[in-house]
Amino acid sequence: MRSSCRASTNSFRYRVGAGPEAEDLTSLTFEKAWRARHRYRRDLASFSTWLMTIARRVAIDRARSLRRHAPLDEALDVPDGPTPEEVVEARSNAARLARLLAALPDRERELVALKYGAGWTHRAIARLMELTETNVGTILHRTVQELRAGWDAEGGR
Amino acid sequence: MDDRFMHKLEREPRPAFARALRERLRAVEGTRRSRARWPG
Repeated sequence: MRSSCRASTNSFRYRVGAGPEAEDLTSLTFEKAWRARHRYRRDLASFSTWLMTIARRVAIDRARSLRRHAPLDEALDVPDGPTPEEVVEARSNAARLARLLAALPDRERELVALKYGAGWTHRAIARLMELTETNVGTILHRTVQELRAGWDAEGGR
Repeated sequence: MDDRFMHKLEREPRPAFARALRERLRAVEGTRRSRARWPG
C-alpha cells in the first residue's frame, strides 16, 4: 500500500500543488478504491493502473467542482494578505513548480502527474490516456521544455 | 534534457498521513468484519 500511497499522493501534488489537498484527494481515491475493490479485475489491469484510473476521476471531479464554484469563491474572497508561512511556501521550489504546472492545459498536467508524480513509463501512460507512446513522449518533451523556460525565468534552482 | 527541476514536488507520504489513511479505510463499513485486503 505504501508505494501506491506515494504514487497517488505525488500524482496529486503535480495536479493540485504541494498543499494538504493532495493528501485529501489521495484519501478520497483510496476510499473509493477500497469500497470498489470487489470490482477490481486483475486480468484487465494492474492494481496501480486501476488505482490511478480512480485518481484521475477524482481529479476530474475536483476540477469540475472548482469551475462550478469559482464565481462564488471569488465573490467571497477577502484579501487578507499571506501569512509568513505562506510567503515562505510560495517561494519554495515546490510551490514554484506547482504554479507553473497550474498554468498547463489539463492533458499536459495529467501527463506530467503520471510521469513525475506516479513514476509511470510512457507506455503505461499511453495506455491509460489512449495516446500512442510516441505522442506521450512528444507532448512530455515539449511540456518540460516550456516548464524549463518558465522555471529559469522565475530563477528556480 | 535536464529535468531535475521536475522532481521538486516529489515527497514520501507523511507517516501521520499514512496512519490516518489506514485508519480511515478501517473505518469504512465492513472492513473490520471481513478482514479484507487490497487486491493486486
